[in-house]
Amino acid sequence: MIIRLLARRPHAVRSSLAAASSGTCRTAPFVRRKHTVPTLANHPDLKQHGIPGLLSPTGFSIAYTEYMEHITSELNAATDGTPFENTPAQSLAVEFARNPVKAHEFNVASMSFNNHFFFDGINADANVQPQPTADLVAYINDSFSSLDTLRETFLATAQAMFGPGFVWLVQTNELANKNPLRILPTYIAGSPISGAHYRRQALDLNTENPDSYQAKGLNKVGIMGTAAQTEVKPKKALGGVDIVPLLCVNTWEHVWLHDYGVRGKRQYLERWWDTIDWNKVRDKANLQPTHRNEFVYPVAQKMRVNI
Amino acid sequence: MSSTAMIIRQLAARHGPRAVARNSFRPRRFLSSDVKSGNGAYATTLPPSLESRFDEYFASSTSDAIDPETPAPAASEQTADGAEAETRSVAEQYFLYKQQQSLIGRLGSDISPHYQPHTLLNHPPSPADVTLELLLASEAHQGHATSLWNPANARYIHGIRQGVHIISLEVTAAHLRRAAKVVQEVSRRGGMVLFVGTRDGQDRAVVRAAELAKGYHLFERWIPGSITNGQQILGRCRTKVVNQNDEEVPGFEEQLYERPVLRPDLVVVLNPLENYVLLHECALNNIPTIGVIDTNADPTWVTYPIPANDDSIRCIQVIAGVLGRAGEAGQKKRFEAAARGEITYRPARNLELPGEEEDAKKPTVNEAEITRILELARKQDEADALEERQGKNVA
Repeated sequence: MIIRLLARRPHAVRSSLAAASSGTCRTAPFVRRKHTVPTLANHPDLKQHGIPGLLSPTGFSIAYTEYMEHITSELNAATDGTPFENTPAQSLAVEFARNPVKAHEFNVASMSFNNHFFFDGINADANVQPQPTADLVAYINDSFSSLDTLRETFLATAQAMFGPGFVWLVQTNELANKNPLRILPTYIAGSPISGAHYRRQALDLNTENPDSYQAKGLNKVGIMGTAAQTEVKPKKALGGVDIVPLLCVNTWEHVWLHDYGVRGKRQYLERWWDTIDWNKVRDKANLQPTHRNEFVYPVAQKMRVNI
Repeated sequence: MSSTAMIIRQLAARHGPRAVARNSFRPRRFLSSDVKSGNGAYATTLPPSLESRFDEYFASSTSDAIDPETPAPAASEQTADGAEAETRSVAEQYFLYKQQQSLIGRLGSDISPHYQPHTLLNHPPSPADVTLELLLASEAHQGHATSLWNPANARYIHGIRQGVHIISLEVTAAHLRRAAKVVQEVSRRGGMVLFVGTRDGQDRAVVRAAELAKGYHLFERWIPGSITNGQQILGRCRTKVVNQNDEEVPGFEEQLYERPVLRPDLVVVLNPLENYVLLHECALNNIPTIGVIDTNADPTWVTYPIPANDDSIRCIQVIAGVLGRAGEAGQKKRFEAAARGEITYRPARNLELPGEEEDAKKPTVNEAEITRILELARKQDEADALEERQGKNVA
């Protein structure tokens, strides 16, 4: 099995051999790196002082600098020379999710997206304490009865997850939904993106039983299968806009182990909640009231259209 | 209501929960499927259109009890309509998708700047963006094998590498800038620019350049004689008279009927080797031409050669883009002058405004003529009267 797994990652074999022969992991001098580690807001401050109230400088360097460097070089190794070499990580995750042969490529792309999403959603400025605005709080109260309930549920979900992963707050965009906000745990390198649903990895099968299978729709055979569907479901939204990730927490151990120790997961989660940048959450969410039969285009909104 | 409730219960007893689920009456969807009502609020009374469907549904459900195999059309129609109201339109989804992508599309890693082919067509470079690096990356320096060269191109060639002539990029850049200036000025003076590119893959570049410069494009075969025998080949094409703001002025149809066909004022050819006839016709009619001259092409065929690689589509797209942008700049200057009240061109000759023509057709009043006629008439009358009196005296 080990040999087979290695064979599925030919770049890992090559790079490990090269590293063994040269002594240090060094990329060839004339190769241009297509993917580079993204910079965060206030990046020099973060490198020097860490994330105030969450991570020390060493903790930040382990969780972001070193880890993203590692993941980015893996991403380059996985995509160099392929038609996907200049594709952003989110698109790569959607592309590779459906192909089990590309499991490693998916893992790497999804982890880079998830980790950057996590650090991007953290408020980097120590002087500012963003609180959720009134419209966002009202929107949260529709799905969770209060902000405190959301916090408790969210942190409890994250704490209960056994093993590494991410916990997301997503907005589901179906108009029929009365509770558009949902909490979505994704184990290991699972992705919340709608197009990558093959690798959502939202469930730990060790904690499921046959009844919960049926309830969560895991059983897809026979009378529960697609051929036996009798009701006409609405079509899925184009472009994957039915699931919008708003914020996430990274529960991989390497993020909090250095600063909080083996037993410090709960403390880390509580400290993280205070560092959330709620303005970014509001920007990502679609807070317009659900007019069923009319669509109101926002006035004077500049959109960076990525070509 | 009790009879219908009974029917539903019987159905459930006979065919199990699946049948009831299929035919179950869902008041929420039923009422929210009325799009015309505005909001999906719960209506207290059913509008007449829904009432008829209500009856139709229950009529079909009673027939279902007799024959379970017949599908219920009302039920399927109802669920489809309900489903439609619950999803957004494609335009809304696209807008949300674009918004989402602008916020989280680039997360994960920073991708180093790289060549994206569509940008040359969607956002072509302007003459100011022409650099030797751009031309080199677009393979504009690649000439043909040395044995295939035209010695007249010797002045454009930098050297030889791997048996192939290398075009000097400084020369290319200089000639390209000159050609761009020509296109800009012709466009500024309201001239007609024709972009021609008849090879495979040049069509999009040619169309885009013509679109920017408000000119004309050709990507299929040039019909020989379209200039020298233009009246025969293009005589049926519609022409129009436009004012300084490019707005059509009506009322000239009769005058245009007699006018000769139009000819381009400047022709840009992206593959001159295959368009000798076109270039010859232009030369016969004193029409300046710009052409992309490779090492095996004849530079004397065109007025303003641009020594570059005509076999590389990327190079052609760069050159066509630059010339299109230059035309766009010229058009912009022309419209700015028009807004100030100045025209940058000589207006068409022998065209009379529709109002002035009607005045010419009306007879003009000449006072001297009238007095002369009246004088003649008076003299004639006097002469007649005198004759009459003389006749009476005699008699």
